Amino acid sequence: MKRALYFMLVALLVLSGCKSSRIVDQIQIIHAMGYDVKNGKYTGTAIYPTFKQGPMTKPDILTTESSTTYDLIPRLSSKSALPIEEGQIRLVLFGQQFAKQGIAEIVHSLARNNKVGSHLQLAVSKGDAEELLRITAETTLSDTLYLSNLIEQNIREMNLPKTNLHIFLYNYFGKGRDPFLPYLEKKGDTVKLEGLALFKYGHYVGRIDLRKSFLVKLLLDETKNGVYQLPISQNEKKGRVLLENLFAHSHYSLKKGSSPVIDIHLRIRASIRDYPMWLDLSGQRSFQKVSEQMEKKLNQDITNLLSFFQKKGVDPLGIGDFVRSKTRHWDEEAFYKQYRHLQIRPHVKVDIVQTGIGE
Amino acid sequence: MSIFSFMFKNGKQQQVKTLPQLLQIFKQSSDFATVEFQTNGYHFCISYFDSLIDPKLLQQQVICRLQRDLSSYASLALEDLQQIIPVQRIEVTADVEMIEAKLLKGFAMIQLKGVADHCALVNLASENLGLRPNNDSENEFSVVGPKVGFVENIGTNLHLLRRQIVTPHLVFRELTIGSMSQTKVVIAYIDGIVNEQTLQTVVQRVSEIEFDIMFDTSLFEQILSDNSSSPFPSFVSSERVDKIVYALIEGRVAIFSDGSPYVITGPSTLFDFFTSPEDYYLPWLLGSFFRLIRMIGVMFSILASPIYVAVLTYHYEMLPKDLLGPIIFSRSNVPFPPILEVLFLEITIELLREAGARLPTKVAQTLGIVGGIVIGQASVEAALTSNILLIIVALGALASFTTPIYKMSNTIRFIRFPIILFAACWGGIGIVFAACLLLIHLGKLQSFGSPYLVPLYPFRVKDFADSFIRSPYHLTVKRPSYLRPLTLWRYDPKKAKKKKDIDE
Amino acid sequence: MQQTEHERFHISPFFVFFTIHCSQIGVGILSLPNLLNEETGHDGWMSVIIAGTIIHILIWMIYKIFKSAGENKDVIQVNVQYFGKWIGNMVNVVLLVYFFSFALIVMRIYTEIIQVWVFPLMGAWQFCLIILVLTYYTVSGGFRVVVGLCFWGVMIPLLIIVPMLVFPLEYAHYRNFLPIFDHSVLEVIKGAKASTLDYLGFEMILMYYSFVKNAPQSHKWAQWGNAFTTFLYLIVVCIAIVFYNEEQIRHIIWPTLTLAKIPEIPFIERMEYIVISTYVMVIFPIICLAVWSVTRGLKQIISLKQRISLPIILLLLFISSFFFTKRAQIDQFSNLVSTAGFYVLMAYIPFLWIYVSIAKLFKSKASEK
Repeated sequence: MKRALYFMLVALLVLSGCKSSRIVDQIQIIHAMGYDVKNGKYTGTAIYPTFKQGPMTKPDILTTESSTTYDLIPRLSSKSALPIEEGQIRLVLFGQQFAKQGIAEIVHSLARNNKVGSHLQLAVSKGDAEELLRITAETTLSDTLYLSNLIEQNIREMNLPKTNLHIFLYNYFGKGRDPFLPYLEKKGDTVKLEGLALFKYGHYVGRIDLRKSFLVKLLLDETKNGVYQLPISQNEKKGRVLLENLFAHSHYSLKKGSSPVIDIHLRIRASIRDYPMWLDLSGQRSFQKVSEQMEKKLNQDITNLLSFFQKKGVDPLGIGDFVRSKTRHWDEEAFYKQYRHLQIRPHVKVDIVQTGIGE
Repeated sequence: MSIFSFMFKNGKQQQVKTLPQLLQIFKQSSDFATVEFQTNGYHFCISYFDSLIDPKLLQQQVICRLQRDLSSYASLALEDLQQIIPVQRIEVTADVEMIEAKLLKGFAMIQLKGVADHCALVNLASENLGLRPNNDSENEFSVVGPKVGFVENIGTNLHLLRRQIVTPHLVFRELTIGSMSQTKVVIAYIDGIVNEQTLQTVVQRVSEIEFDIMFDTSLFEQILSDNSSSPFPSFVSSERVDKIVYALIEGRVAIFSDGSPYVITGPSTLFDFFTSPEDYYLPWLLGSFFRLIRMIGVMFSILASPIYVAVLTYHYEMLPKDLLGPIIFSRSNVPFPPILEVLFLEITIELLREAGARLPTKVAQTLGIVGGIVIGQASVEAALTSNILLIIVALGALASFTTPIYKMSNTIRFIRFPIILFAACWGGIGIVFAACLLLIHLGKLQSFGSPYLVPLYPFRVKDFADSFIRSPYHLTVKRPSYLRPLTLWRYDPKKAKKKKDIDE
Repeated sequence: MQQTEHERFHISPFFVFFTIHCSQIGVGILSLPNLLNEETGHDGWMSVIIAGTIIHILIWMIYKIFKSAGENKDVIQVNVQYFGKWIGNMVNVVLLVYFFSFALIVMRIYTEIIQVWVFPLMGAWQFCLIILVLTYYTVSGGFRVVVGLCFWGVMIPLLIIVPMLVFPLEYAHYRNFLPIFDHSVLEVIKGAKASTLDYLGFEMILMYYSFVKNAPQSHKWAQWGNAFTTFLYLIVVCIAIVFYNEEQIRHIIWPTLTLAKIPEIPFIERMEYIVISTYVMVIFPIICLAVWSVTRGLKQIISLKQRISLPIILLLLFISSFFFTKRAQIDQFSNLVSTAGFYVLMAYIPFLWIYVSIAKLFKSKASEK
């Protein structure tokens, strides 16, 4: 009798259990989502893979328009044969216009959404997000993950500082720091990474190029990759060397006072990958001279970058956060009032550890 | 049991009181023979079951001797037969019940005319008739190590055991079980090692068994087990001599039953079912590695298809992006939800296994190949299942076969199905629910009163030496403490453990 | 004979480590960083340590109470012994109601997490039902089985969930700890009060104390159990502090769960689903312990057989789980239970300790005379 009761319960549960299933081949998995604003109307573009032909994907695109950002995804559903699921979304792309208007709504919705992962990439496109997504879907690239892979590859190997949804939210919500995102641009039939888009209070305020984003990468935290081109002169000849970062470490320190000074000690262990043929790197002295030139140039570039940030009033490096960690009862507003005139001094030290296998 | 016991009870009521009545009952059967002959003025009457005795023995040792050597005796009493007939232990008795029992065991009854109720019982049983002489332990094969296995004859089995354990402390305690079969059952243990309480439990439980015919020790296993409605076997049963010897010297009790090549040992723990004798014959590193592989295999076998069901039905977010394409593509034409797909394949594999087990070896091999390849390939091509699942299910089945003890591998294949159902209902949470259920069940299980999950729960750090890994022998000089043996040390470790310095 | 029979159901002192630790770590840890952040921000780790120390003292008090009142007793008997039949039993009933609500709230919060994160469409009653059926199966096996479950409830999450805590360190901002002591002492103590609630559950030892073999020996293990809880809380809080910043945590209800979005291995992503699933193992022993405590208490008070009271209690739990359908209601009830728990801890236990010690003092003086 007791057992029969158990069995009935189990049967009941089985019957009622199956309604919230989301079987993997019976849903529309979005890989990337784009947001644009045109003439006061919002456009949402979703790009999803279809697997009918083979394990190679065939990207498809859905677009819809709405007067608010909230019901873009529900509206997309009305165009789709299968329920739309955002659990595998890897990239959210904002058109520049949209980013200027503010991405707060989307960001808050992403922060609340437990379905999306923390490794989701956010990016800004120069033109319309839709246009960029169409390129990845309809040209030879034909890969729904092309853009997110491109960003990840550049983080891993090249000059892009580490970004993803978690880092963005950290910078976005956190006091004393401002978020930044990769900035993409259409180049003919392909897409090119063009640097970093800077945000202030959730609004796009400007951008820096890819070369400078390497400096941001150096200044943010420990990094092990990236390349940087530097001018060099020796015996009145001028040329350029390509510096490959092997390991960089930055250390901040604060001198308190009526006009506080921040010193950034940056230590780069690097190799010179390519250099002009006339450059003599054989002796200790010439070697040192070359690294001194590099240090000087890097110092100069970093100072320029910092003053650019200060002029714009953005703080992607989290200098405010650093000051907070050194100050009791730190006042955000007061700090950013004097942020423009804050003295920040970079001290770069370059150690050249190798020059490749050839002499 | 019910029909036979019913018959037996009826039979018991018309109790045999006298020898003629007994003979009357026996004579109903055509294989009961009575030979009467006269020699030297004595009239002998020999009765026996033709089917039980060895006719050669009867002719050479009994009839021939009686006819030839009788002349030297002046007056013959039944007790003198021992001197004439060269067969050990001739018993003279008038006890009808004993006569009945002995006759049914292959004794011959010799009556002398003039001595009314006494008779001599001579053991003429043909011990090995119809039994195989040897067993290569094919069902529990190991490449290294002895290949002798137990056979159906209990005498041989006890012989095999005593040859390895050469100590007077090895004790056999004989019982007779089975109202119809009168099976000889032997409880073996090593005195001075085995825990008294455990032994008492075993003896008590075995002697309390009521059954008609003991076909095999696996019946014992079910009757003796502490929780009979559990899919997990409570006792290790093995046909390998080395395994039983090892169990005995650890302080367990072994139960032999006549007619069964399998011997059960207890108390057992979950880990005992995943140890193979080969672990002990290989160097400890290799032994431990293969044991770990086996346990991981079991985990994989239990969890792989439920995880497949759970992830594909509820948690598509968990798939990495590189795996998403192949999985969706392989499933894109499958019309069933993952649960039906998995059940279909799992049951197919069970069918193949079951069919293979019921067929002669040579046919079974062909069947396995044809069934496996053809059905697997065809069902993928017909889009009934996805080929990724095919790999998972096949690997799961393969992994379940690595369990050295057949009964455990059956259990493992069985408990997969409820877990698959749980996974289909509540995804990953369902799997953990099922795992909880399994753990509680295992925690409740006991084997001869000792906990099943030891040394995990109750937690015994010292007994881990021979559980997940097979530690080197100098670390396993102590017997497992959960068996509560009377002497903890297996041998004197001081002699074995002398460490030498480098270059010494 | 009866004594030896009783012995079979006892647990060895070592397992008190698991029962204490297991009953403390529940759903609280998932939202602990958020809770602490509101009071103490990045100095929250100090509150955790302070709260842990207080609990150490309370455990010490409990052992002292039993030492004075006599071993082989549980709190039910102690109450009756010291407060008389009527008042003592009234206190007992309050305690049992508290344990009951404790089981209810743990179960309901967990099912809410399941609903929010994994199965938004499924009714919570399904999960309540299955948890309760499993609870029946466990508790009917006796206290040893419950303790066995506690053991697994510690070991398995320790092996699966705790290693995941390493991964978020990739995003650590160690600067977040600075400046230390940025908050006032009052704030830190407020945080300690808030985090004390996450240590609740250990007080069930009041009920199962008589089931521990050589109970006084288990004192050391009880303290270790609590120390381990403190250690785990400290780790989780520290990782949350370096991983999030204060403003970010405010937007996350279950920061510890969100941490699990970070680890990725080649064949599986999004570990939070694994964490939520494995969390059954964490939740379930607490419910079993609490339900066992209630049935045991009923047996002591009105000598109701546990076999009879167990299904009734479970049915009551199931029915009452229907009363909380909205998040606000659950929150409200959770606050109520934790306030009750706080008073059990901070008022009842010290009071009982003082009362028992004084009574003992008088008794010994009386015997001297």
